[in-house]
Amino acid sequence: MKKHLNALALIMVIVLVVSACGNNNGNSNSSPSKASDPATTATTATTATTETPDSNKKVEFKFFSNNPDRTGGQGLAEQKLIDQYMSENQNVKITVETLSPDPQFQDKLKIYNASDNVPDVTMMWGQKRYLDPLVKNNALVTFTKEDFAGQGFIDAAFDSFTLDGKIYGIPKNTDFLVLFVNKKLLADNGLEPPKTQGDLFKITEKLKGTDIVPMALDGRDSWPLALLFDAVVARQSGGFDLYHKAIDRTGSFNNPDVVASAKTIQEMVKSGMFGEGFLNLDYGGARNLFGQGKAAMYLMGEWEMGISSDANFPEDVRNNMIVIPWPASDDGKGKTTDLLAWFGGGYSVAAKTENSAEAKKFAIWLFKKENWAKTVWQNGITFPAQNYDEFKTGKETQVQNDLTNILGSATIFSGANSQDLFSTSTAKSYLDAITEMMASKSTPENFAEKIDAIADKSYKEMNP
Amino acid sequence: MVASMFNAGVLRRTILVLGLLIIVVLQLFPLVWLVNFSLLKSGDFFGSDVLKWPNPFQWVNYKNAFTLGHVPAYLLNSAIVAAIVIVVTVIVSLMLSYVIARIQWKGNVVLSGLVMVCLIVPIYSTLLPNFFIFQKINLIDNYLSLILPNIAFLIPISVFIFIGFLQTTPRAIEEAAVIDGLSLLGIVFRIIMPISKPVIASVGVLAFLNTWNEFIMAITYISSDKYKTLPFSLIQFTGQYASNYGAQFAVMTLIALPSVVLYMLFTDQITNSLTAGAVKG
Repeated sequence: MKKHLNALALIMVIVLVVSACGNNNGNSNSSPSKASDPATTATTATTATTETPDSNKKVEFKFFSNNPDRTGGQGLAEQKLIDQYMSENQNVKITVETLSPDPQFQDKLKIYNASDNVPDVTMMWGQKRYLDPLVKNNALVTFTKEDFAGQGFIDAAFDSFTLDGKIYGIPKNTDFLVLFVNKKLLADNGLEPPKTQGDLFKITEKLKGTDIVPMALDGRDSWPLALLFDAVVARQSGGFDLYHKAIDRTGSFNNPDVVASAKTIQEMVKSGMFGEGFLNLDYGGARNLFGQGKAAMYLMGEWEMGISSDANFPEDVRNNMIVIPWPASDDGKGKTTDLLAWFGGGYSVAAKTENSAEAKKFAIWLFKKENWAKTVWQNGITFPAQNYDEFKTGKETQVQNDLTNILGSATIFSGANSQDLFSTSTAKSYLDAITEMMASKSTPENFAEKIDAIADKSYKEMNP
Repeated sequence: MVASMFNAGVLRRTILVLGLLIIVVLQLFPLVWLVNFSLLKSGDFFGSDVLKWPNPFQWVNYKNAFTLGHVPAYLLNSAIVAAIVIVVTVIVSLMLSYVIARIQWKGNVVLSGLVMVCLIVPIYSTLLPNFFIFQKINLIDNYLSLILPNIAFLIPISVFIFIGFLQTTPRAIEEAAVIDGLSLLGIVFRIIMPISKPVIASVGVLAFLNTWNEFIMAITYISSDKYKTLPFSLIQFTGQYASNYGAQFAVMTLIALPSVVLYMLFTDQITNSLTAGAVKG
């Protein structure tokens, strides 16, 4: 009896697995066929936009955000503006759905896209790997630069949201990599903020034997490591062309500058610049290390500018924070005015929803400079992708002013960081390769060859 | 001689007590740590201290959990979902396992095979298909979109446990009841149900813990605040980069509390539920 039961169970399992696979194939076959039917969807999109919306008609649409905390940060800015729009347009009701962390958000967006249910306005990442599936499904409305004329957008900001010459999203922030410095901690040890990469090694040498970690680095998430790699490569090669070209295959990562950069980074690790076990230090850990005054420097993006007003940290640490660009190369080839800056986040508007036209109107309103740019700057939330000079209050913190200077004096912008340019499946192997290199598990030469092969694979995946 | 024997006894006892003490500390430490850190500022996290005396106590974390984290509303949702899931799971699986364990009919083998197969279906493989189905029949973003899949995933394991129990109970009472003219449903609910109370408690606890901690289905099927369950309170304090750790720990303490209390009340049943199905498969 038991034997029969087992046999039967086995058969059922096999049947189930096989049928499940069959279903999957069916699904994946059906979605391209849906996408290859742009005629119908395109017409629905255009009729939606040409329709003149009745101003008294009740309009309800959904705003999908990755900021669950609506009382601080970008969640606060979003909510403030949404509330303002609703009070100015009594017929409009905007409901907010939030989901975090980002991978979960992106998964849910995929599900929404697969079921033709993309929320009217959604947080979007300006990289081909995120935009492509939605664009292929005709799920997003397009914008033109005229929609935002006079709003002070940095021209390059739209690049990452542009596919085949069409704009599918509105960039919301300017992100750039900087070095936060606790100047008192350095001064107490007879040191000054670093001007060249050589200074970084001197600081590390001098701080040896103290409890102070020279530079707090979030090594657990591998993306900050890739930013560090970009910064060092840029200084070594004197610009950002190297990785741009390597990824679009007009150049190669198998390059002496990449090998030399990897060598420099490995030396940094060996000298103890990032402290013991930095590969196990996560985002909050690295941030707190610096905030508690246990690290002299902190490598992070400009979005951490709120750290100097975070009441969770002691005042004498907060009052001594300054921000400097990543130091120049020792030979002067890589200057501090070459800035690793990118425009990652933004919003897109769904094309297939009932109130698509109204949602688009809201999105354009949201990015009037007196709305988004003013709100995020004056609340010290982030750097808008728009000019914010006219909204300066004079009450900016030292950190904010330093950041403004760094951005203002930059002459060359990278436009994107390397990891964002890889395809979905290869981005992870790229980050893993960098982590491996920093853990000294691969030689600089092997590392260069490895990431070049990954770049090749990525290119083939993105341009079949 | 006597003294050394006495010493050996004491020594053995001391070692035993010490060993048990270490286990107690290891078991309790995460809870103590959780409560301790729920009273600290976010800036105190990741420091060099394992435990830190809160100075001053950050009760504001709990206040934030209740107001900004919507703990009361989400708690109610979790309770509603858990209660329905437990009741339905217990009744349905009890009836199903009675059919499989006691009634001889043609489809028996197929039926028990089906239940066994369901044990190995991973939740993740059902997310997308379920989303489509719920979307079609308008069940998305609804209590039912949490209740139905939770029940579906709990039935196989509950049936497994019930069958294990039924196979060890003698049929004499049921035979007597049939002779006295009790109907089939009567047997299940007036005879089997009372005698399987301990097993029902274990299944109930198992269903509660599973539903209470369930998150992946909730974030997939639920989008409006009205139906969100407790784990959502936790991500309410997740920033895009750094998070409000203090408030998150406060929420975790609040979420863990019902489970801990339940565990204390039903320790025996929970341990039984782990072994009940193992006696005879």
